This record gives sequence, C-alpha cells and structure tokens, in this order.
Amino acid sequence: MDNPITRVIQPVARLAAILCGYGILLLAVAIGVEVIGRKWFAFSLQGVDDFGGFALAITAAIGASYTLAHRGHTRIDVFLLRMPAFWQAVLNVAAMVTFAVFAVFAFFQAVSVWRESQLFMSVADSPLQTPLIYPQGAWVFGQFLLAIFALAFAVHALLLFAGDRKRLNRFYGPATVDEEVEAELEARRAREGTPS
Amino acid sequence: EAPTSIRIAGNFSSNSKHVDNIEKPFFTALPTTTGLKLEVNYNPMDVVGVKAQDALRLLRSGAFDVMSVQIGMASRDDPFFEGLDLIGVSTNMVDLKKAVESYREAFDKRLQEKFNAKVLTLWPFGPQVFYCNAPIKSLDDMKGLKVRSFTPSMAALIQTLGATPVTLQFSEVYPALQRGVANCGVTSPTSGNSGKWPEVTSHFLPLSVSGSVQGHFMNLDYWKKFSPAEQAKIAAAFKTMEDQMWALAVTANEDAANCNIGKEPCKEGTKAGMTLVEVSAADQKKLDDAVTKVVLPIWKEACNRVDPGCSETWNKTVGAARGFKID
Amino acid sequence: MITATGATLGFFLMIGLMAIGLHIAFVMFAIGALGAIFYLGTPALLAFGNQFWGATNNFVLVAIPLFVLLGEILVKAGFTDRMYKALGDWLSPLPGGLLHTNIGASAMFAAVSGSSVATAATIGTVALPAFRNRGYDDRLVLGTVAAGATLGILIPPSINMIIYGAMTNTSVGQLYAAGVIPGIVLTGLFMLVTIVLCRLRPSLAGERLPPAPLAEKIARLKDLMPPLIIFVLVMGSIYLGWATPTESAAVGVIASLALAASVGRLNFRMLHECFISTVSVTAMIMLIAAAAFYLNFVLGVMGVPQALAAMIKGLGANQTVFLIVMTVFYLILGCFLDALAMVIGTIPIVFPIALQMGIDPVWFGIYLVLMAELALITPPVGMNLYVVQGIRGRGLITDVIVGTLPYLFMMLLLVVILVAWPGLALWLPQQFYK
Ligand code: NA
Ligand code: NA
Repeated sequence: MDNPITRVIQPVARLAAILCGYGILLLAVAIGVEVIGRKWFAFSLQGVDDFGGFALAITAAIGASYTLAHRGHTRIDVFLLRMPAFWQAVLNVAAMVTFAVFAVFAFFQAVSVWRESQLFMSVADSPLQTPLIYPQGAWVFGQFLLAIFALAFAVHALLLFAGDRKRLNRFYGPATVDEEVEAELEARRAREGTPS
Repeated sequence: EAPTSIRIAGNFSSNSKHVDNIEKPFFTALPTTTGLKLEVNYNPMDVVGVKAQDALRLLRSGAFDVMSVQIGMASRDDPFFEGLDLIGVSTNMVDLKKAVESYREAFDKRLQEKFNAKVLTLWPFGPQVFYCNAPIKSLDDMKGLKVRSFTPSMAALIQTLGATPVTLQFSEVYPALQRGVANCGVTSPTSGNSGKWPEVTSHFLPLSVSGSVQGHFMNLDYWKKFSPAEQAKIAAAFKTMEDQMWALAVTANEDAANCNIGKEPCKEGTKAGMTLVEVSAADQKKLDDAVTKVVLPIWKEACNRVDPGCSETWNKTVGAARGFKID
Repeated sequence: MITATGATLGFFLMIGLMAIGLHIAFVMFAIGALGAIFYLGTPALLAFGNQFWGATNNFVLVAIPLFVLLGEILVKAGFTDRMYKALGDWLSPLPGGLLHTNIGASAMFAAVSGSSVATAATIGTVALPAFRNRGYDDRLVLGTVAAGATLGILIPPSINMIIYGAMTNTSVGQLYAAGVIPGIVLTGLFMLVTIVLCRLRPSLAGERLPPAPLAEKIARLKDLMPPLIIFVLVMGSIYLGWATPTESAAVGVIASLALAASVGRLNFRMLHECFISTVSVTAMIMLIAAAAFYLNFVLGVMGVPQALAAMIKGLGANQTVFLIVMTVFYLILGCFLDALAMVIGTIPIVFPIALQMGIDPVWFGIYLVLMAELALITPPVGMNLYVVQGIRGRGLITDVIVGTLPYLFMMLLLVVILVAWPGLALWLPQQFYK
C-alpha cells in the first residue's frame, strides 16, 4: 500500500468505516431490543426500520471510499492481467477515470435529491417522521468523500500514465485475489499466535 | 405543439384488477378515445422499479408524463395530500367520496404549484379493514394486540386503541400473521383475500380506517402542450376511468368481504370462513374520538409546518364535509 | 423504441466493458445512463439520484451488513478453526477422509454465513494447511473447498436470497426455508461423489489419520456448538415468529458477540477489524446493487424485459424448455460475470418471464441461487476458484478447476432434480407457512 494518495486517504476512510461499523452495531442492538420488546413486553421502539434503512444508505455511501482505497469495488481481472503492460495501463486509467465520472455524477445527483427534500420539507414515512435532510445529508457527505477520492485517484492515474506506467499498474490494477488472501492468512496467523 | 407520445408509470402490477382490467386497456385505447395521435408507453411502477414514494418528484421532473400515485406514500413530500383521506375520518366509501370531492380543488391547486402536475383522477383502492388472528368482538379487544401499520397516523391510532403498531413489508405480513409476529393486518378485503390472509387470520372487522386513495397525475408542462379542446377530451377520458375505479372499489370489495366470511354472493375471491365482527355504534364513536384526539393534531402539526394555512383549508373542505374540526 | 439489434448491442457492450476490467458498478450505471440519454431523455437520466437513495435506503437489505458482520465475528473469534477440527473427527473415517470435512465444514459455516465467497475464504484458510503432506489428490482437496463453499448462498442465511426477495417482493423467510433441503441434498451429493471417486481410485484419498480417542472426540463436539447456536437462534427467531428475516440477522450478531465475549476474544481491535471488512463488503455490494436498480429502471421503461418476455411467450416454449434455455444462458453468462452481479442484473428480465410461465417465485429464487453457485466455480471468472487458488499460493489454477468438475456435475444434477421435483424446495416452506 505504497500508493501516496491511498496513504493520505486511508486514515480518513478507515475512521469513517469504523464509525459506520458502530452504527451497524448500534442498529443490531436496537433491533434486538425491538424483537425482545415486541415478543415479551408488547412494546415497539418504532422507527428501527427507518434508522436501519438510513444506516444502510449512509454506510454504503461512506464505506465506498474505503472500498475504493483498497480496490475492493469489483472488476474482472482475468483478461486484463493477460494483456501487455501498455494496454493494462490504458485500461487501468480508463477504469479510474470512468469510476470518477460515476462518483462525481452520483454526488451531484445526491445533492439534488437533498435539495428537493429541503425544498419540500420531506419527512420519512414512518412514525418518527424524520426530516429527510438529516439522513440524506450524511449520505451526501459520503458521496462527497467518494467523489473527491475517486477524482484524486483518477488524476494520479493519469499523471502516472504519462510518467511511470509500472507504478500505475501496481497502484491501479485490480487487487489480485492473492493480496486479499494474504491478508486473510495474515489475520489467521495472528489469531493462532503462530509467527508468520 | 401537441406531444406525440405518452409515458406512464401505472399502479402496482399485483393489483391486477386495477392494472390489467382498467389502467392498461384505458391507456392503450387513449389515442382512440381522445382522437389524439399518441405513442403509448405504459408500465406498472414496480415493473420499472419506481418507488411509490418518489412519484411526485418523478412527475415534477417529467421523467414520466402520467403517474399512478399512491397518495399515502407520496405524502412524504407533502403531508397536505394526506388530508384527502386521514386515518379514521371516512369509514365507508360514500363518506370518502364526499371528502374527496370537497378537497379536489385545493388538492389540484397545491399539486400544480408545488409539483408541476395536474390531478386527473382520485379514487380509492377500497376500505382498509382489520384481519386478526385473535378472537375480537369490538375495538376494545384490540388492546395488547400487535397490529401492522403502514403510515405514521395509523401507528398513532393503533397506539391510542391500546394496541402495538408493527411495521412490516406487505410480503412479510402473511408469514408474520401466521407466526404471531403480528396479530392483525389492515388492508382492503380484495388485497387480503387475494393475499390469502384468511388462511392465517380468523376475525374480520370491516371498520374502514382509510380508503387507500390513489390518483392519476399528469406533468403540467406536458398537459399545457395540448390545446384547450384536447385537454377537455383528455380530462373527460380520465373521468370515465375514475368512475370505473370507484365502482371497482365498491363492488369488488363487497364481493371479497363476502368471500372472507363465507357468505354469498362470492364471485371473484376465494371463499373462507372468517368470523365477522359487527361494527357497533360504540366502535364508531371510539374511532371518531381517537381521530379527534390523536390523528388530527398529529397531522395538523406536520402539515402546518409546511404550510400554516393547511388545517384551515382542511376545516373548510374535508372537515366540513365529514363533521370534523381541527382546533 | 429500442430495436432487438439495439438491445443485443447494449448487452454485448455491457459484457465487453466488464470484461476489459472497468468497475462492474460503473458499467451497469453507464449502460443505464446511455439507454436513458438515447431513448428516454434527460429527466430519466436525472432520476438516478432518487433511484439511488431508494435502492440503498432499504430496511430489508440491512440484513447484508448484519450477516457479513456475524460471519466476521465468528471467524475472528476463532470459532471456525475449532469447528473444522471437531467435524474432522467424525467425517474423516468415510472413504475420502478429510475431503468430507471440507464439505461438511462448508455446509456448517454456510448455515451462519450469507456469502459463498466468505465461506470459501474461511474454510480455505482453515482447511488447506490440514492437508499438507498427507498424500491427498491436490485437485480434489481444492475442488471440495471451492465447490463446497458455494453452499454458502444455498443454505440459509443467504445474501442472494435477501436481494432476490427485495427485488421481486418474495418472502425471504420462505426462500430461506426453501433453501434448506436442497442445501442438505447438495451436501449429500458432494459427499456421495467424493466416496464414489475415492472408491474407484483409492489413490485420490490420502493417509488415514489415526482416529482420535473417543473421549477426545466427544469433548471436541462442543466446538460445533457456536455455529449451531447461531443457526438455531437465527432460523428459530424467524419461524417461531419472533423476528422478520432482517431482524433475525441482528439476533445472530448479538449472539455472536456474546459467544466471542464468552471465550475472551472480544476486544476493540478485533471489533474494528470486523467493522472494516463489513463496511467495505457492504459498500461494494450496495454500489453494484444501486447501479443495477437504476439499470432495471431504464430497461423497464424502455420495455426491454417486456419485449423479451413477449418473444419467449410467442415461441410457445413450456416451462421445461424455458428452464433448459435459461440454464444454458446462465452457464455461459456465469463464466464471464460476477455471480451476484449476474443475478442482480438479470432478475428484472427473467423474473417477469418466469412468473408469466407459471413458475413459483420461491422455487425460482432457489433456481437462481444454484445458477449463481455454478457461476462461482466456472472459469474464467469464478470467484471461488480464485479465492481457493490464492490461499493455496502455488501450482496452476487448472488444478482447482478440474477439481471442482465432479461437484459442478452434482449441482447440475440438483437442478434436474429440482425441475423434476419442485417439492424438494417448496415442501419445507409449505410446512412452515401453511
Ligand atoms: Na448461508
Ligand atoms: Na464463473
């Protein structure tokens, strides 16, 4: 992970991902309370599914940055890895630039959804009647991070294409399964306490 | 310049009586009935992956020229529209018709101003009644039961009746009723019957808490492209569909209600043996009180937040027609 | 509107852009956006935002991060390592020895994990070291893990079933129940073909382990308890009526946390690692799902699935012919597409057709899960093949591919059995929901 952009982005994306993880954990606990309350105490928290839907949308948006930094967004690599280095470089740049276009478009769309919710003072159709601008605000923030990071990667990839295509392919080629598996084995060795 | 094509998002395909028997034939025949040259593109909204909540936004932007809109769902973007059919205000189709007619003008004005769309039809799916898997004799017996609700004010009403509101997707209600996650479900006699709810419930309480009002709205820019004469033809055509929908809501649901309790005539539905719980005057009174006590104040707060004149408009229209007043 | 040629071109453009390594999510979005621009106009393109929010703000899909988190906690707390050892005690006396442990452990982990790729990674890292210098045929060792792990999405819980349920409005609880018996049958078929192969060529199986003392074997049985407890809690909470399928995932997460804490393996570092993998996988799946939902919207308005359905109906094909055609179509498509993306991308087209042909939506969900399982082990794009080869870290991927072949035929056999006897899937949900 010697990609300089990743090194800058990593701590932010990681912290955001961990915060989302706590959100998911909190949701699990809230659902647990809801299930037990409904079954034995005729009581319902109301709005757990509201919060759940928001948590998923926000987690997906904010988490997408971490996934991008770790090349976790699915790409098919079998054909790519069999091409000459030059064409790999071309396609890796293409992948990063097209993803950035997608991310920026998604961000502007998210902003327009948020502005509509603000204009109409829209509320969630659940007992809590949460004004949509709050959860959608967090969602827009997630899309903002993704758009900025994707742009940074795309620009970096373009610069490398002119300068150093070897590094381009190392940084922006699809994460090979080997790297993911190595991480998995590493984790297992850590669990067992055996030296790696 | 009059448009040459029309793109429609119709109602949910699972409502086959409305979609296959009325909407689809209506739109397919629209060029003939109006004499307009239009290429028709009609799809039920679930077929094209449109969420009912997004209807007003998609109409406003012109992504569709005409949409079948579930008022309850679309009220996310403006609670004013829900005023047409607030939970518990109109408990039968005759009263509902009065409420709808009194509100139609204000409704259309609001829709044009805020969402760039015009009302062409307003009609109900049918009475939303209770299916329970616990022995009940009156509304009082709802105490302690878990009742599936799908709108905020319904949840509030259910709580006032001493029951626990539970939120579930429609597809999860059948298993939930069967396994006791919920004790009662609220839906129309036809939807409940075709969804096989009588298999998992025993008591049928035909006290309608809503008519589940739907509408057909047209994008205003699209509407204005037609000449006044053409507009008149279009409006007249949609009026016939509206009448068909009202007739269907009444006849089909009477039939399905008979089927649920094993009575004749039962022509369309599946016959079942549910126990009919008669709606007493006391139940009706109890519901009216709950409406005044919780439903109206909650709605007033939500609606006046967006538009301070909201409850006043409602009092002059639906309130006057139905004998309710928001203080 | 769009012509047949246009639609075919669009389809091949999509496959082509995916094959050259652009991001799958981008490609699906781009095809949708192109369709919107050329055939529907700007408002349809700008409908993306609301479709995007609607697709991800979905309570039913909340089960995805919850089940991923549950699996992560079980692995990182070390429960899966011990489960594998305990299963080995009892399964390795069969002809084929430890190979059966791979299949059994996959089936068991499948009962708590919603993903086949996660099952392959988990069982692979636990299992492969156990085979070193034992004289087993490499190919079968790899094949049992790669193919066995596909059970992850057939035996409930299953992310594929959750997404299918959300997209087609089918009850996830019924889908789960429908997956149980086919899952057990497929596990049995996998073991059966292993026994047959090892009987025919005993050299395929390696040295027998000296059986552990019975007392020790019995003592280790307790290591099977954690996954069993979770499975019983998750499924039990659904079928006893305590929880909806989505809520049951949360019940599983809480139970796994309690179990991890009970063995002293719960700490912040471990929890944060679990969070990061969970959020990362969730974001990956949801971005593809959101793009696919948008593509569905555009294709639907353009009338592509409806036209295809009308065409197939016009051919007068019966259910069997339709399913044979579908199976061939999915086998080919599955060679080139990611399994989950393939199912999400094709549901909007094939589901309405299947409904029109009178096929039960729950049965069809199980059928689609099997098609996704096949896609996971067919080259060149087969995620499980790569995961297992990656864990092995030497030799040729061809070994893995050859090793999965006998199991691939068992999956096809199960498809045939399911077509001939739909009750295999539908009987259990009917018992629960009748
Ligand atoms: Na599973
Ligand atoms: Na494949």
